[in-house]
Amino acid sequence: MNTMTLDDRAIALSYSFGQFRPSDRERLISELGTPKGETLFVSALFIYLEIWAKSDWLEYYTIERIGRWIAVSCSGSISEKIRKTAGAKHDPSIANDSIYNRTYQALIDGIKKASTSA
Amino acid sequence: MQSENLDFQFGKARIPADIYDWEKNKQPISLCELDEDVGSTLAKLVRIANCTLLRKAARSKGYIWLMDELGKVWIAVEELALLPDGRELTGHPRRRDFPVHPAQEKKLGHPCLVDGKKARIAGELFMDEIDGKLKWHLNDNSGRYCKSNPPRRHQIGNILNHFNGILGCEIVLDEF
Repeated sequence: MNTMTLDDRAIALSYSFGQFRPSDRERLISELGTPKGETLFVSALFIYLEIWAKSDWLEYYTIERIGRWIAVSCSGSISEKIRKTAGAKHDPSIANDSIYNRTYQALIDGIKKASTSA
Repeated sequence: MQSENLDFQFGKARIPADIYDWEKNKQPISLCELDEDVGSTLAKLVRIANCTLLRKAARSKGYIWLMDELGKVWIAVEELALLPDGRELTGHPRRRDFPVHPAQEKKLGHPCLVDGKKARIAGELFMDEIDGKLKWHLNDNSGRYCKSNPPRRHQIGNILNHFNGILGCEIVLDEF
């Protein structure tokens, strides 16, 4: 029996965003098909992003790439939910080019780019 | 090969968009030119790694590569530069399956393969499992060299063919 809480499962799943190889992406997509999968997927993504947002450096391209993949591989409703959640993280009290704000902007940019080129 | 041919086949040489402080004047100790010997070693490695003893460890490492202005391809293990507390590391491979967030892993990225100079195309080489079998995968994932001027489809195909020719084994193109 799986005794992990939903939070534990989200933390474990968040590493798949960090690794992001084809088998990790398969795992993420298959999670979406499970009960509570969407909640778990979104929680895992924002756990992954939050650590970048609090970091002292940023791989913008890496996060943008995840955004592009979400726009292409997930349903429109999930992409839109994620885009809105990332948008709501924007903190107007700090600079737009702060690592915190750029982290969430990178995801939004990736989703937008893939949506525009589709 | 003529520079104009290289421009068409693999992309124009461009400087990296950025170099992190911890990358300045550093290069991975595993840095090699991708020649026939290195290609043959990589081809052997994937065959050897397809066993219970080595599969997980082999999958946990990644390699970064790029083609320089002259058309030479350079490859290295993705090596860490600093520990989370800021102490320097030398030659320590980044382990993908180790539960550390990438933000905690300041590494030596693509610009360190050519001392911050120009490159035409760059990406990663890694093993991943398809139907339980490890295979080499290649992508053009380099934020510093390929973000603002992404390689065209035929250029990605050409670099995949270049790797295929040198390794002589199947390499899967990872399009994300």
